[in-house]
Amino acid sequence: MRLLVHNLLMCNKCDKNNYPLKIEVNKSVIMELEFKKDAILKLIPKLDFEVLSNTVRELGFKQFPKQIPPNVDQDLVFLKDLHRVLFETHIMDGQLTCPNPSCKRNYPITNGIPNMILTEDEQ
Amino acid sequence: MDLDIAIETKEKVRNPTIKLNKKLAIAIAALTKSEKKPFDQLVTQEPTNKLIAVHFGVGDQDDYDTICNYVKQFGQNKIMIYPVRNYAFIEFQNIQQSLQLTQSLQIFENIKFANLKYQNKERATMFFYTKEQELIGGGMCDIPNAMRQVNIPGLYLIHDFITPEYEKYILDLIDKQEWSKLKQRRVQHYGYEFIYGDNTVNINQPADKHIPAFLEDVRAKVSDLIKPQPEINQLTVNEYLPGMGIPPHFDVHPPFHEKFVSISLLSGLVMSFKSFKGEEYHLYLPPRSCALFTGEVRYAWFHSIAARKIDKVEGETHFRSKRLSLTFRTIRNDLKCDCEYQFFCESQGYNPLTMKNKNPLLQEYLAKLNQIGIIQDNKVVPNKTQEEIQLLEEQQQQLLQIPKATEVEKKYVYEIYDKIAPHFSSTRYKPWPKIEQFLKSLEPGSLVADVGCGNGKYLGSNPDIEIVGTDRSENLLKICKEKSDAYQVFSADSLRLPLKSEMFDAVISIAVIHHFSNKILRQQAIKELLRICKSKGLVLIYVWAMEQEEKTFNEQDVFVPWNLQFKYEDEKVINQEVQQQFKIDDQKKTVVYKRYYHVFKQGEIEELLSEMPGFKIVNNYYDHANWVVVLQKD
Repeated sequence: MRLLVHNLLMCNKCDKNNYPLKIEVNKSVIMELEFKKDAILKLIPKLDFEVLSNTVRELGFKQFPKQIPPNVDQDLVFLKDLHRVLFETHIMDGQLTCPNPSCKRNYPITNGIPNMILTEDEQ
Repeated sequence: MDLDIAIETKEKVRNPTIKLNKKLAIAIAALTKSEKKPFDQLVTQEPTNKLIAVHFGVGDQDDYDTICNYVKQFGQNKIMIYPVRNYAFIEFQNIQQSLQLTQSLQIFENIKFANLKYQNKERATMFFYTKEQELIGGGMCDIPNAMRQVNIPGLYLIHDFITPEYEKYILDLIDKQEWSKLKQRRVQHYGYEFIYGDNTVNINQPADKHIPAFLEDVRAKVSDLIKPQPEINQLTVNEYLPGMGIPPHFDVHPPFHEKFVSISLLSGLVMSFKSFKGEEYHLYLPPRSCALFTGEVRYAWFHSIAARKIDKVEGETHFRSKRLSLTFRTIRNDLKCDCEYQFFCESQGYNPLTMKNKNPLLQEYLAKLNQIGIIQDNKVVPNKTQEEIQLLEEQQQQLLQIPKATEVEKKYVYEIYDKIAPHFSSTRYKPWPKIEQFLKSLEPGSLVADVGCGNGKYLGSNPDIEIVGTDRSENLLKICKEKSDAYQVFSADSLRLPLKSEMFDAVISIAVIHHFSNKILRQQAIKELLRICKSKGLVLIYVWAMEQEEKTFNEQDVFVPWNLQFKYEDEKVINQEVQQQFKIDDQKKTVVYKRYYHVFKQGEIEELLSEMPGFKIVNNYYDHANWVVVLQKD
């Protein structure tokens, strides 16, 4: 699972306070991908950057900026870091947890695939 | 990679001094264009048992032979060479064998190659590992895969019926006889005069020409084979050149006796068979073999030869060359036939003039077999069982407060796809052009959701968009990841997607919604597609049409069989240890699973949508036997 997907996923067992899901990583890999500046610039406005930034920093990348820097289209250092976390970081094993304290549902990630299917009773 | 380079340097290709990395550029360009996939998705660094070999030739018999000679030293393999393409596909039985090959190659700047001798000239041939199961190969993927043996009632294939010496002897003499020229091919008739159009003989007028003496040995051998049927007394010689075929037909019942044979000379080719029930098989007839037609295949199956220059035999390319067929028959003195297949029998009620397209005798026969109720694209959809009818009725009567999956979806969709995933995926590899077009027309950088992505067929269609796939079947998603680690997928229920609202520039739902067994669920699935879509974003929906290309389904709620080959199935299932609700077909060596579909009438999806707010229909059409709508969210 890449952090782009994480930026879009919410818990669908509960209706409120169900985003973003907390990530626990057991195994992650870096898989290199060609850096395309235009592609990543176009993607930035579509993301919840605050969520991405918090997640990235919680996962250990403490220097990742909390906000999109000014003149972002010229900030190659930032763009390459963003490319790294958004396109090249894959969480292979771990889990996603609903932030709602009365839910806290765990969704496992196995071989890079999050399992978001609810059981019969949960539906 | 620029294709212009490839065209410009085509002339220089055979120049051995050209730099290898330029050759690599040509190879990449050709592969990418022809396979409609980026090079880095076609090849992989990780060793597999499959290789793409770029031979820089034209994909003819010589290229095939040269590669074959080189590759066979490493182990048993199958080679698909593609006419007019400069690459081939090699499949070994295991990874060790392909490793042996790649370890024997020369390496230059990360390119692995061998200098092979093609038509006495050396050419560098590059090898790449691939995870692809099959390549498009300019359309080779569409050619049906023929077997060397099939199980068709009444059909027998006898190999080496004639010795090579005898074959040479008769070929020389046959060619010296007088040929009649038809529109497309040359023929010779002996024994009785053949009347074309009716595809029969005039039994009252024996031709002056008797079966030649030099063919007496083989005539006698065939007569022996067909005993107690009276002796062979009619022969037709057909000459097939590559590209020639014969359309599907069955040999008329009277005035021919039951058994007849077709002997192949000079070269082999694939003959196609289709039963009156719609089952299709393709069989390779080797040279000097004798195909004996008796019983069901003789009276009630259509046989044909596709008008092609190449065949695909058990995953390998086979080039056609000139072939002669000898069809030996016995003429009856009366015009009677006592077969049990009256629906095709002219002496028992079949009228070829009026019943070619609509045959009430056949419908009656099929109905009597009590297994057949609905015909779809010549594949048989059996009548529903009591259990299936009850289940459909039950869940349709329930008032669904919360739209969630019923027993129908669970038993006849979710479970099935998980079971048949690898087999299913192997039949779903060719992306449909209009869908790819839709994806490619989106602005670069678009965020797209493929809801019901299956084996990820469309996740690689447009490298300039960010596409996320989701499916209910975890096994299909595993196959997605096998295709490419870069594919982003997660499992979920499309009736309630765990995705934030209004995030996607476009959403596609290809062949998914027809799996929901009632209107409320179908509308709920569409609601979810719209919810996750941005304002002014597009939603593309494909659902199976009731109105198919050649036939129409008789009902809208159908259970369509899927024959899962034993090799994909659990051992316990095959041994029937686990209680099975699905039948086992011992003859075909498959387990028969059923998938539920609600097929849509023309206009039905638009009607469904008219009850829902928040969007406009911007396009609707029929494509590949599906009704399609494109929505734009308000």
